[in-house]
Amino acid sequence: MKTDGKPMVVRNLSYSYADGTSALEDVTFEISDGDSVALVGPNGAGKSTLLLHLNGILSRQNGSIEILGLPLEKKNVGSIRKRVGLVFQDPEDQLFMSTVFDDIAFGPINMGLPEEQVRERVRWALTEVGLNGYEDRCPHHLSVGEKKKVSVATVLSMGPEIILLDEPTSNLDPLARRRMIEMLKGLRATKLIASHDIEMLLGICDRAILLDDGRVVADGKTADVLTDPELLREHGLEVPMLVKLFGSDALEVIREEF
Amino acid sequence: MSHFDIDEYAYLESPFHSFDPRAKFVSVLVLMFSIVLLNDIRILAAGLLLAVALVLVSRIPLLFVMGRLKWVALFVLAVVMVLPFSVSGTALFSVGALTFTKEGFLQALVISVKAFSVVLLIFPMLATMKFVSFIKALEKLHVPNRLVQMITLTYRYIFVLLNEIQRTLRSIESRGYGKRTSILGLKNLGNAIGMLLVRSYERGGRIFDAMVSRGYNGRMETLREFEINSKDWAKAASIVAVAVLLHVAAFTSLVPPGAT
Repeated sequence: MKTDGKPMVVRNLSYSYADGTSALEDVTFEISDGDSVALVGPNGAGKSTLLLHLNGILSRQNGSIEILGLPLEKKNVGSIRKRVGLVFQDPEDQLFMSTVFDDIAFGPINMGLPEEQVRERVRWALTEVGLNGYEDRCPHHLSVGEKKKVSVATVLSMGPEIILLDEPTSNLDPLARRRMIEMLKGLRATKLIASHDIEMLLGICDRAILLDDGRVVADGKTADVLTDPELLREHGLEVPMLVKLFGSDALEVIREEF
Repeated sequence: MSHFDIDEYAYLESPFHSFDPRAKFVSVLVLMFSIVLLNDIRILAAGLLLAVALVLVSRIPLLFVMGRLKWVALFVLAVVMVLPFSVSGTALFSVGALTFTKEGFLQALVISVKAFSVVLLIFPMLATMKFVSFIKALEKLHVPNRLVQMITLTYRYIFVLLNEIQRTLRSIESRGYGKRTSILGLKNLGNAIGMLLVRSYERGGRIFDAMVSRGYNGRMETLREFEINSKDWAKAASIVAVAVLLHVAAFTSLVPPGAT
């Protein structure tokens, strides 16, 4: 499969909900192999709707999506879902099995992997998120931070080439947030992270796409897009205090911090 | 936030705790049916004693068992109070227009003994394993997968739902509409229940999306975890043998059932 180093190509994507509200309009962007891309925008900008398109949960009404060289169509959706992992914002939605082990094993079992390989992947995914020994725990006994990490593990175990994350740091206390950021930085896959946590995005991502009212209003280096006070304010976002204080030096400070 | 611990006594050590969940479930179920199908009060009494003995073997604290039994007692009492004078037969005595019969008392006793025996057996059967193991046992016993999925999701989300109910009630209360029984209070409660339904519906949709995005295709499967060994077979065989013996005893009993 030829991907030309562009595992994700989205062209003129539009989507409106059943009640007629337009959620995405003419969205076009590409992501290169190994990129970490930030997806920012105010509430209701269409971030989550976009993510739901990228592994075929919502089907496109207009435009085209190409994932890892495959057009996103009904016949490809199964193989695309194996290779594109989506981590939902609310871990209560993401974790639906009764134990951590079963949840992380859910994807690999559905992929039809043999038992030994499933166990191996669960072990590996738990190590990646730093939660070894949590196999038999019930999701409802975990802290929010742990739930969020297990959510990431449930997707990692499928060995995706692209990971889509919806608000990975929301609702976390400072320490849990820091751990989550460290973990995300360590992940090797191509990442698309939707979030309001601009500081985190500055720390992890090289590129940022700013979405407002279903349209791409800016697409460029994080250092340019996410440190532009006027642009951000215009679209309901705010420049982090560090950037206000240190200007372009802030990026270095943040990168050192995480 | 945890509400009650369903697995509270699942971590003790006893022959029942080490018993393979599948074998335990099936063999104790056979014993339960065997007891329910008996009619001879003398053999039923033996069954009740057996159930008590098994509870003792399982090391489940008796105080806990008693606490649960009182609800069964309430139910049984309702039946038992009516039977002695509603079953016709040999009259023993009458109070006003009510005639109490020997057969009535006997039947009341039979029903109580059956009910208590079966409920007692639930403790060594279910309280000695984690609820998750019970679900897995059902899955591995090839109970219809949809049913297993329903139980799994119910168990997973019952606590989430309880939290949501609690939060909704608190938010109502904090705005001054406590457990007040008034038209307004009821209206608010009605709205809250409606909201809860809508939220649950939406959560259901999101959970389904999360399942589909990880390759859900209608079946929910987990890996094999139980290893059945010769001890499990021996335990299961003894329980089933006892279940059969009870009926052999009833069958060969010199006095036909119901003649006592």
